[in-house]
Amino acid sequence: MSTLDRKNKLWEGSRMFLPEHRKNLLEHYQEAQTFTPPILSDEAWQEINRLIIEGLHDESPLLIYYVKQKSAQQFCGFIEKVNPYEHWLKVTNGQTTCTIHFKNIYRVEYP
Amino acid sequence: MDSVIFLVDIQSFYASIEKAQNPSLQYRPVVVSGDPKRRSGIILAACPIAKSYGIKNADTLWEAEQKCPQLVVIRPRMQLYLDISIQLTKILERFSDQVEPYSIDEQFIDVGGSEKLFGPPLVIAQKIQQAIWEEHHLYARIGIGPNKVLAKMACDHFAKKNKQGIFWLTTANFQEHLWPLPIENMFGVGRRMSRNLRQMGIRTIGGLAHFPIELLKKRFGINGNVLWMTANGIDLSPVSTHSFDHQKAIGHHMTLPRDYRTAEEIRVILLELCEEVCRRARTHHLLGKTLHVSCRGADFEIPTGFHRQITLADFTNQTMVLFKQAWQLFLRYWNEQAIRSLGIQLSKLIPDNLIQFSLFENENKQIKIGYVMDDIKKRFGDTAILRAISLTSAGQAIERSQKIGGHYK
Repeated sequence: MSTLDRKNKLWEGSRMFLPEHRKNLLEHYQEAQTFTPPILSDEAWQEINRLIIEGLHDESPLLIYYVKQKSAQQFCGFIEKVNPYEHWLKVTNGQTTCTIHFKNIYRVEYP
Repeated sequence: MDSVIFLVDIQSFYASIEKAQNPSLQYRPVVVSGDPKRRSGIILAACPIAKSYGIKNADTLWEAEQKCPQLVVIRPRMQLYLDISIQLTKILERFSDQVEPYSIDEQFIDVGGSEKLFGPPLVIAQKIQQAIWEEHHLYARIGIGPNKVLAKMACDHFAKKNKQGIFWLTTANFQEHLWPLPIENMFGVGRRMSRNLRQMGIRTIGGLAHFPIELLKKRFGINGNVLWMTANGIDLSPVSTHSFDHQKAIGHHMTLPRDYRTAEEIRVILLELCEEVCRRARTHHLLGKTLHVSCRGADFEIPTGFHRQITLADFTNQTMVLFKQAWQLFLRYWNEQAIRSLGIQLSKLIPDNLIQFSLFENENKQIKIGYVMDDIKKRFGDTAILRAISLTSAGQAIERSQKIGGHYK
């Protein structure tokens, strides 16, 4: 066969890139992967509030979607504590505990 | 169905940015040039008006001013050019998520799948041109092809020369357009290769396309196969967004401000280059095992120089370990003549959490010193801590800290 598949070698081997340019590009790719949570309506906040109170009261597990270090995270567990003054809640799942600030939550549902 | 790949190239990138930033220069001949007192004092970019006076890239500033006495000469602003290059990547990413920068002013974009959103390829190309013009006042030329190599040649040989700044080479028409061109015009054929091919009786791209591939492979190895594929418009390379993920080698090269003649002077530069290479390796938490040293002789008439490599006993990112090996390698192949440029590269990289400690030397402290020096430079600037040797007249570390790619930031 006379056609060679050398992946991207032809171009990666011939290009000239300044280290500063490469660094800026990698930063740009990193930035592009940054997760932007949706802006929630008052109704959506009320629904999240209702589910948290219900979960706390009924001791039922909840799946919480939140933002951490600009990326989307999920944690499934039981609401152990809610601190309305400092605006955070503590969720546990066996040995693992997670403290989530209210402002970082963007969705809550039953698993 | 054929893929649709664009190569987007910006006309006279540096000069066009300067003109866009300063509209009073719009109708004047503008060049961006390095410092005329140094070897970097050559034309880096000339606007089309300056080019109409016969000024070419890489002319010396003196030559350019002879050709056009009213020339406007601008000092490069490399950081600005890099920032705009990233902004252009962002514009292209609006049209497709498959964008691969190829150089500071050239980017590949695979628009396959974007037709329903933006229209047929020619319309997309026009929209890209328009977006770049409206946002940056830069003129983009776009080569279109079923693969990267045809897109690149469509841009270089046709889009740059026609009025629309757009040209589409297809599998159906590339033979008609590309094959009559001289072999020197083909991507991947440099001066030396074109001489070899001409000696074999190959004068055009079409001639190479019809040449028996077995003979090319026998003469040039894999490169012969690749050249034959290029001539026949075949390129299987993807437009890759991950091509910057893995660092394969870290290198620095310096064209010296004057000829360096003595071993003492060259030693200073070699140490500074080792420091830069090791600093970058440490920043990326990498260690390397293959060291490359290259140098070019000062005399243009009699080209001399070498490019040699050795495999080190252990993986390293320690400046002095690398320097000792580099210096030995340099002395082994240096012909004791003056040199005009010097380069160092570290390859065969692995993560730095896999260090093999020596039983006999206390390397731990040496390794830490490197990282501490990097932290100081990161916090207080590149010249906050220097080796004393960099303060000698041969040293270039202070000068280089003010530059990107050998030109002012």
